[in-house]
Amino acid sequence: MAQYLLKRLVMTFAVVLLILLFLAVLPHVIPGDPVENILGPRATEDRILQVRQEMGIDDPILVQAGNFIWNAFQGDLGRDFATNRPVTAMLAQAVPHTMALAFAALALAVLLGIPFGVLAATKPDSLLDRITSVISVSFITMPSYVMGLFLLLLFPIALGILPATGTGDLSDPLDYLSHLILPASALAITWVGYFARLVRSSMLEVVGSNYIRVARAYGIRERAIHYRYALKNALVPTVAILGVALGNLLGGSVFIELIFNRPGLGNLALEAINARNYPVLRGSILMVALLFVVANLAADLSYRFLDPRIRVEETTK
Amino acid sequence: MTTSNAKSGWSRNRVRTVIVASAAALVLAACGGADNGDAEEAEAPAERGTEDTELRIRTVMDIRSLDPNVMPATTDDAIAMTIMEGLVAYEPGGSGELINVLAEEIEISDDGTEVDFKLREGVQFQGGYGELTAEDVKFSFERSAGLIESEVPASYADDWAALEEVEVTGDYTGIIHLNAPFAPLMTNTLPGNAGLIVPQEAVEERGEDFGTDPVGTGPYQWVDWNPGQEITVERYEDYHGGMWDYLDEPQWERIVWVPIEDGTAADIALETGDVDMGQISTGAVERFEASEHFVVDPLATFDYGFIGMNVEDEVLSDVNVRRAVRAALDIDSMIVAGFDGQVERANALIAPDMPVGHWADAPVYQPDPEEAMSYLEEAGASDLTLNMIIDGQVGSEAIAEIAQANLAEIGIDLEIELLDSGQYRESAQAGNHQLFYISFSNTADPSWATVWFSCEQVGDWNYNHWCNEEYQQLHEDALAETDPDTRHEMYVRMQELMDEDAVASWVMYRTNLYAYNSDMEITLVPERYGKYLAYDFRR
Repeated sequence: MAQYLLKRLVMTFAVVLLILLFLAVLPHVIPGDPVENILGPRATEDRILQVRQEMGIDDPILVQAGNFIWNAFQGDLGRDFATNRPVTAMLAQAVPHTMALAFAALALAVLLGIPFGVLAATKPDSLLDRITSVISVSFITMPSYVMGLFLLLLFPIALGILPATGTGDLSDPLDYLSHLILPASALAITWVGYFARLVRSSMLEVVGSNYIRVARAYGIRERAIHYRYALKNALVPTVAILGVALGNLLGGSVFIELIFNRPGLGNLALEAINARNYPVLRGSILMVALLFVVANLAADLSYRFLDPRIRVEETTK
Repeated sequence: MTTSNAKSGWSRNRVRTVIVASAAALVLAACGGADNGDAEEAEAPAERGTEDTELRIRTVMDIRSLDPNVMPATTDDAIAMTIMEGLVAYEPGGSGELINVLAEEIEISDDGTEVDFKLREGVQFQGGYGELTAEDVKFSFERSAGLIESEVPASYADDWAALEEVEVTGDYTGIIHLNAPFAPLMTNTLPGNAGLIVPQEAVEERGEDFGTDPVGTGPYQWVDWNPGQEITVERYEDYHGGMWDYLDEPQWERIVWVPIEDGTAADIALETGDVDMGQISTGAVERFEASEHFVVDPLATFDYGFIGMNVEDEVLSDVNVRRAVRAALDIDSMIVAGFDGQVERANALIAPDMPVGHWADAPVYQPDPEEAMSYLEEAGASDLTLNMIIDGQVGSEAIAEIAQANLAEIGIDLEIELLDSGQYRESAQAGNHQLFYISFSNTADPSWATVWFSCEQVGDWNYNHWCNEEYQQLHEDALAETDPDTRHEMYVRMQELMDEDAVASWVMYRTNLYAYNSDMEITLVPERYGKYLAYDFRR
């Protein structure tokens, strides 16, 4: 386990380094001039030169890349080209909103998707199973931004309930949560369907295995078999993809933040790319990548922890 | 002033617009199906508390800096206008006349090189920065002109291109000395961004932070900025009251701007009452107009959109080919398809309400395939293939598709290339393009439109790569011409030259559409003369 952990940490570090390298050369692969975006066409030559110098975008690529990576490891991601605010401060403001959204969506997906899947697996090929499978497949194929607009038109506009845009006030948790309901639901919908399908198929697999047959032979009640013995094992693959799901939800939050006007990472990145505001763009991509990497690492480690068989396999190898 | 951002950030909303508009169309189509085909109606805004003292406005972009030396986005102006003031301003109501704000008297000398001003006495800066004096005027103007060192250097020094110095002759009096007559001074510089007066002490104390913590003499003072969420100003109790000679005192204790970049999100924020007033997308106009709960107000701007032709291109270097293209295009259909008919057709560069320079007799080209064919014959051209670059800004795709159909009629095969704004600009600067559609923003002086077609802009913003000596000379001379009538003639002549050379097919002057709750009374200062005056809204 310790060896494995070490291996994973080295890998993670390598991934982060690669991401940093990519981000370092980013300004040189995207066309467009950030100075023009910031100063506009009427700016004087002197001012343009000065800003270019301040930004350091005329330095050789290697110098820029080196500076960026060196500074990044020291926790300095540069300053917003336009407002001169430190990028880290901007991230600190945006990340909590995005994390709240992604975790709320993940929680919804788990809380709805798993019971859905279990329900479908209790009576395979029954009417109930067919209905849930139609629903979950349509959930999987529903893009989150379409769902977002549906929810907006239905709740705040037609019915006049639930807030539509913004994040609400963090100092008032109820207000904040109420602003989270619609965007989180829109974002979760795909994963509700996905988890339902996943849990259903792994449940069916587990239910067909020998130890369940033995349990049946002992006369243990079906309900107990399902929930006490089968579900535990059937959840391992689900836990394994939680990390992927979280990463996906973070990525998907771009659209949702846009539609619901939430000032999170997605909005920050989109605005930055439009303005060629490289420090902000780098910072927000780095943050999403880090969250993704960490989530994957955590998921990997957690199912090892949950499923002793994986640990045993490793030690006997 | 209407500065750069519409120009430089022209495809800012492309990704959003495409994604969200298509999704919205899908959803609306799905919901609309049950409605017997009636136009969708915008819903009543949800009841909010009786907040008659707080006004909430959607702004299209978050602010960057309100420092007059930076202020890169048009959307920042509306906020800055409540906090800071200049010597003069355009009269609310859109007459185009200048009114005195901080100036009690202002007079320009006969030769146009000296401006005497006398300040209103007893004007107090916000935040306890003391009384406004002529020294502040000197500081503000010379800082804006780049004549004095500043932590935030002047980005728009060209607005003060002719400034020699500001001489202080008394506590409240001074003289602006120019080294040559400068026509945009009274149309654009003094009533605009470059003419805002700020207290030296606060600027020096706050340095770069002045842009997000500004101080002025206006009726509202800065409260705070919550990035991406809210920008708040509140009543300044010691306001000198200069504007109340022209307006009733406002009812708002606080004005809050909510940055909502996405058009669909903005429509929803209006419908749910999250904001009281804001710009809406052209696609939503019908819905808002059909609703009794909303009023839709169009605000014409000086911004213009056109299909340009690269005259350095081998094929298009023949003026007859360019005339053929121009004669084939159906501009009216483009306005319907690209903008739901919500913009005004343009026939020349300068919009009708510009103080000088609108060419009222400009030819109105209607599609005439026969004439176009005869131009092609004259050019001896056949089986032509042209390309057209667009950057995905609102309307551009529809415009390109109509152009494609129009040109097919005269046997020209048009290839449309949709590029990212960065690629678009690189391609257009290098001249690797033939036709292009673009819209540029503009201020209340014609020189800020004509400059983009001048020779020194070739390879920069002159995507037409057109360089005409007479035009160039006129552009330079008109800057120093102080007689409005002569100046007017000069700009008309410049547009005639563009017309003769067929460098562009003019498409539209942009109209911004605002919607607000019908219980509100809003007099919008036509945007062509600045921005809406937020505190003059009533409920």
